[in-house]
Amino acid sequence: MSKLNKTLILGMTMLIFLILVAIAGPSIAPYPDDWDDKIHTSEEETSASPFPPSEGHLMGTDFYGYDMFSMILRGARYTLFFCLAVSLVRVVLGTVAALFIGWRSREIKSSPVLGGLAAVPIVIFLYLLFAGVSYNSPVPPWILAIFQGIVIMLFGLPGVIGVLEEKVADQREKSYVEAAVSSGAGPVRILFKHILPFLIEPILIIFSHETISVLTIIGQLGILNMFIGGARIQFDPVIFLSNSHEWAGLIGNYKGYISSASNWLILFPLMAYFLVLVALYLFSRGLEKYFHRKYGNAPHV
Amino acid sequence: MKLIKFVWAVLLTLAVLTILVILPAVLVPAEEGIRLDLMSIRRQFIVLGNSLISGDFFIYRSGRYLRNLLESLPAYTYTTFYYALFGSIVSLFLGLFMGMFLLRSNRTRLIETAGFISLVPDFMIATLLQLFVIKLTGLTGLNLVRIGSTGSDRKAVLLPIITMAVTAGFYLTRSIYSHSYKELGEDFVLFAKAKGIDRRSIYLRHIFPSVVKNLRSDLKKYLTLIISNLFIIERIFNIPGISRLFFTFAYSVGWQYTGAAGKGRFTALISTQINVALISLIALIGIYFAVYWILYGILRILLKAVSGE
Repeated sequence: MSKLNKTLILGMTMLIFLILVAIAGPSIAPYPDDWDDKIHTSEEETSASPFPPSEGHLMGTDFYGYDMFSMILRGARYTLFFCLAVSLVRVVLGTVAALFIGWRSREIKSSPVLGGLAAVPIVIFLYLLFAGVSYNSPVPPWILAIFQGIVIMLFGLPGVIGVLEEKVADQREKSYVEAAVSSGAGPVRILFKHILPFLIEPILIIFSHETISVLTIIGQLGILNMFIGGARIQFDPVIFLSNSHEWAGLIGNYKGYISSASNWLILFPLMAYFLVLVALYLFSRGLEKYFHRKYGNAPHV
Repeated sequence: MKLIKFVWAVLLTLAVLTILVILPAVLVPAEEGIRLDLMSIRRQFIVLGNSLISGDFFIYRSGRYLRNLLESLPAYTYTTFYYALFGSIVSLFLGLFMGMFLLRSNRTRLIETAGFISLVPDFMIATLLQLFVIKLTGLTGLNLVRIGSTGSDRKAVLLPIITMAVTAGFYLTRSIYSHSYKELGEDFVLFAKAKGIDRRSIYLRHIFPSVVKNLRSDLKKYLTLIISNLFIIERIFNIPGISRLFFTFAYSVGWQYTGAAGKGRFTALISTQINVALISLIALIGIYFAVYWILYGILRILLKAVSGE
């Protein structure tokens, strides 16, 4: 180990900080969940929420007088743990499946018959799967979040299996596997004791990539008013309110305020979301550098 | 044989799409979780079948009015097609240019930055651009760029195209860079170098054609990205394309009273016009293939021009 991997250290620090915030969030939030502050009166004037950032409200308040900073602290756990959990399950299931598929090495051909479906964005699939259950639903938010998590997890699974399965098939040709076979090891032992250790690097890197892609997906769903944990709908005007204050949901909630004077409402959730993205990116780049290996040749020109 | 395959593909795709569009009515909440409303599948199919037989398939409700999709669909489709084509061509050339530029410059910091930007999601780029323009307008008092469409003849064009160029363009940049970086290590490059061919010609005659060929085989993946970006971008910039049809008419939010009279409650309901949903997804697939063939043609011409094949 010659050089310090600054990228990885910075990424891990940010992630740990975010995880701590997510854990402690609700208890360090300055205002309780149902606290609101709709009207300010002073001697000069009377004003109504949303209030811009001030000493009392670090990130201002929203239209209903709810404190933005408290909401962001409460939502952190949903955003962060949702992304991490979904990609963790995806990678674990993907690895197990890839080990067995790669071992048998049957060629799985993608069906060109349904090629046209590539035109339908994945967010639309997800939207349609969630639309029936997510609005003003009697189902508790955490059950909804688990359901949404499982569905999102499944959508990325084939990609993960595809990448890892190739690597398993590569390893299978190696002589150490032949040696293990001839000394009488069964396939399960070979797969988990001999081949799996070789896959730790790509698995970690894929995990970090998958986390970013889950983050992107929930962000896009948020724009389409589909929030993790569901939403309450208020009518006249129609407004979707995230149940969980999950960050992508907050962006979706307040995206309409972008051209109004109170655009801090969209700015702060966006910054929080961006922070997660940067942390995950640094983490994944750091990992890639840490495991850096020259797979190809150096360029000749 | 080919025709049978084609018809089979079309039928299968239609079947999957039909199942997809009735999903919101089928996957419904129950008191203790989520359940499949199997009766609803039958109901939806009957509605769809009846409308096909009676010829109401293209009729949809827009507020208090009944409209015909045959009249309004072309405008929505054209809008999405226009943005998809324009955006994909701009990002294609941006990606090609940037990818080759990064390869030649070989500056790590630039490459890292491009890699990061390609990961920033479309909606974030779009929102940041909007905020930037608002700030700029506030500072200078000049209203230069539309941050959203305000009418069908006053569409926002510049910001949506920039957003697509940044998201899809940088995605291409990254993939072109990594592909051609690998290519540079191949033996044919060493051979060309040994024969005394200069750097410029190696890039132009050897690397670039291979990049374009690689791009051509990845074109479908690239277009999937373009279309899915476009769906989000249309929402953010209020562009009257297919997504408008989808989220305003196919699935819109309304009330529903459930339970016994007086004892039930109002629940939110996604009211559906599944014919609109179905047709808009079919239109999306049409746009996808149209843009695909146009881009395929462009890449072919490009390849011919460069390699003289």
